[in-house]
Amino acid sequence: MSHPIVEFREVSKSFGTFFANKNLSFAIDPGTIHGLIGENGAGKSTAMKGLFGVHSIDGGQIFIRGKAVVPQGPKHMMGLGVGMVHQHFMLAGSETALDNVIVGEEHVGLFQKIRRGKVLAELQALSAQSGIPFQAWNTRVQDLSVGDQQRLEILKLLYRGSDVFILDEPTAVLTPQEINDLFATLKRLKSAGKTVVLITHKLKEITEVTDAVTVLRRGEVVTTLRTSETNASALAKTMVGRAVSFTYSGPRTDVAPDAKVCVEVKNLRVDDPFDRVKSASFFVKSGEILGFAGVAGNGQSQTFKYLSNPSAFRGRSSGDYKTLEGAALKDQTHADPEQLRHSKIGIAPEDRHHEALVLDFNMNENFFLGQQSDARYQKYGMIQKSSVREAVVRAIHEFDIRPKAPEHPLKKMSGGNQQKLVMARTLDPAPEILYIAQPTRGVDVGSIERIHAEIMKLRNEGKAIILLSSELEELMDLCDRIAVFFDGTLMDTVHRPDFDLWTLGQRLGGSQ
Amino acid sequence: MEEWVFPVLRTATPLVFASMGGLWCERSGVIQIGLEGFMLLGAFFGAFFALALKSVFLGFLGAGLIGAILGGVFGIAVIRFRANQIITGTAINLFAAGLTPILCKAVYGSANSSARVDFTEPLLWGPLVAAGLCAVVSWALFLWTPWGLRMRFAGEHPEALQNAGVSVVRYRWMGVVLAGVLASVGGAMLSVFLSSSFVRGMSAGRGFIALAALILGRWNPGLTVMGCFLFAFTDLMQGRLQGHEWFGIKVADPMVHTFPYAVTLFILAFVMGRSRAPKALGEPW
Ligand SMILES: Nc1ncnc2c1ncn2[C@@H]1O[C@H](COP(=O)(O)OP(=O)(O)OP(=O)(O)O)[C@@H](O)[C@H]1O
Ligand SMILES: [Mg+2]
Repeated sequence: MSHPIVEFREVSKSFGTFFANKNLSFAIDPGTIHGLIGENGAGKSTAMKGLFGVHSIDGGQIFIRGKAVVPQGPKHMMGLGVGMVHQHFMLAGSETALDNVIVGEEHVGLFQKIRRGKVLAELQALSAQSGIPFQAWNTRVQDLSVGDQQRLEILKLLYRGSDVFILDEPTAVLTPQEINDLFATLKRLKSAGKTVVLITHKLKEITEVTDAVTVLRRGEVVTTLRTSETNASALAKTMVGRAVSFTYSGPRTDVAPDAKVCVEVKNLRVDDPFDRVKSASFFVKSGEILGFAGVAGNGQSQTFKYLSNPSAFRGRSSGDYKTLEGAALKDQTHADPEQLRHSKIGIAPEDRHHEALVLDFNMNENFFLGQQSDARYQKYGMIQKSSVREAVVRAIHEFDIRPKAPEHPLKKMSGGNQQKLVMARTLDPAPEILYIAQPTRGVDVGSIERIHAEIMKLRNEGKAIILLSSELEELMDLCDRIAVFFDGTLMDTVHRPDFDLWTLGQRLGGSQ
Repeated sequence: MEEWVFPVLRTATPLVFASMGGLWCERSGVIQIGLEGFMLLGAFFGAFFALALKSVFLGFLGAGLIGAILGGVFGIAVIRFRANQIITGTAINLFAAGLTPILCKAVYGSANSSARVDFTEPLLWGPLVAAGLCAVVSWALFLWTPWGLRMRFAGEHPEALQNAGVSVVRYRWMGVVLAGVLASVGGAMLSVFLSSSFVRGMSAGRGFIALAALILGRWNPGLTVMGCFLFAFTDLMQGRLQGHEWFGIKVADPMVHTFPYAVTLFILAFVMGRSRAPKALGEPW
């Protein structure tokens, strides 16, 4: 047995009085794919940032190839062959792919001409040799797909001589096809003798590609296992401390035959250079969940954005959009989010960081966002801080948000906990209609179970819900009907009895 | 041709220097609204050193040196202490507007103008060539060298640069000091090259025009120089339109004076939307 390539011995890291990592000990063997799992806030990212030198560790030791090192910073660790692909890519959008690889490693004097031709040839050779396809070297990064950007990051690390590749939730923002490609890439890296550390919340991915897996819980290592000796539900149990069911098993009331139509959209068209909606007509009744499914760029996201704020699409959209208010359907084609709120519509947008939250603000302030006209939280134009805080404390309790400190800034919270706050805000005050996008992106299995139960509870209470998700399994688990988007068109609405993973996948690809 | 090309080139020289300074500073991620102040101080010190040392060349050199020091002061505020970049830049402008008349009065006995720099033949080609070199070298550095690439990353994605093991702070320092040096040399062009003495307030908004050229040029050296030519042209137009009659109506000179600024506003209003600043511009590191 060779030396582990990376070994943590009793590594600790605290933020103030809070231990994000406590005496972590585990080893990663060279030439393997090593999974790292744990609930939101368990300390996975913290541990890997410690290894990559993004922040210093407080105690313990890290060994690389059997030698103790004190990580001094990314440059230092890169020199030792450790590279990290961050969830937010380290790529400058306005620069070409090639320049993004070159910067910092130019291999010529500061004021000499960069030998782009030579580097390009090297990169093309590297891409061919490693079997990681990439062509668009002279394209600006902002014009690349997310999958391409990720491959570029990996090739960049490869070019810089990395042996260990740390990937923090790389699949969270990828389409299923891109995930397949990524896994092919990881397997190629492995067969080239490289080591991969994969952080993910999708246990299916762990069982599919990893050789070993370390489970963290509340900052501590629970265990390190061989993947072949475990399975998804056992892992979930170790992670959360209780049995977790991956599918919803609670009650599902029948949709009442006289259920009212709560949302009605007819012949929606939205003009957009990147994501156009050519034609979408659908309705949602009270007590049912309509899913939006589609491969990225096929119109489902755009339709969702339109529903969430039609006023932003003035002049480039057409069609009818009505929602139930009181006893009658009300025209919403010019409504803004504030008016939608008044119509008792709760919205959880797709992009948590850009559309839902202000990361520099704390939980209270983020909870208040969008509720500024709510009489509970505002009097005579003054924020009622104490009632906001009370509401946040309630939300923390109800959704098990960690840490349990309302004054905690969002940027210091793990992604899953941020998502829980978004959900809590969406449900306050209790809406009649809900638009929910990607509710479980980056969320751990235990919390997914809780969020799914919450959504189903709302459904059973008679709310009308639209659910946009890139996880087909999630949609199939929860929805009553799934709207299939392809090429900007809502092709078809599939009913629950006809749900089938394979046929749905085919439909999303455009076949009938 | 003769009538326009040479004068446009002359008028553009201070703008080219200042806007190249602004280019490097802003591409490295620091907003540079103090070009106007650097120019004004450069105009004074250019004349001062030229007169004191009896050398036009040393005048430019001295102005550049003072510019480096002021750029350093600006850098201490915005880089070391992460002060607000716009406010600090404005402070530089106000400081320059207040300081130069005092210095002028102290040295030359008048707050309004310095002694004349008249001990040499009028400069002809030197400054033009220097400005051309400044632009061409900037362009080459920008496109081809590791230094230029790193500068671009400092303003676009500083975190990526840091992760590549390069100090963002160091590159931003180079950006602010370069802005001080180049804008001051540009200012010295006003007092020593385009006229022959320092006159109170003689930068007259050219620092802001250089900034406008930068925005118009989308933070690219080549296009920015084009922007400088455009504004130099409008400036000349303005001079030549004075006293003209339009269809029998005589436009008042103050109206004509506004021409370059009106063009600036007009163009910025139309082009601004499509121009994209460096992504991390104004974010302290
Ligand atoms: N800079 C920081 N300051 C204070 N607390 C922090 C900081 N960074 C992380 N934390 C806290 O440390 C804990 C661990 O966070 P970490 O990001 O490592 O979790 P994670 O396991 O990656 O979770 P997720 O799956 O949600 O990404 C969290 O409770 C988080 O709030
Ligand atoms: Mg994380």
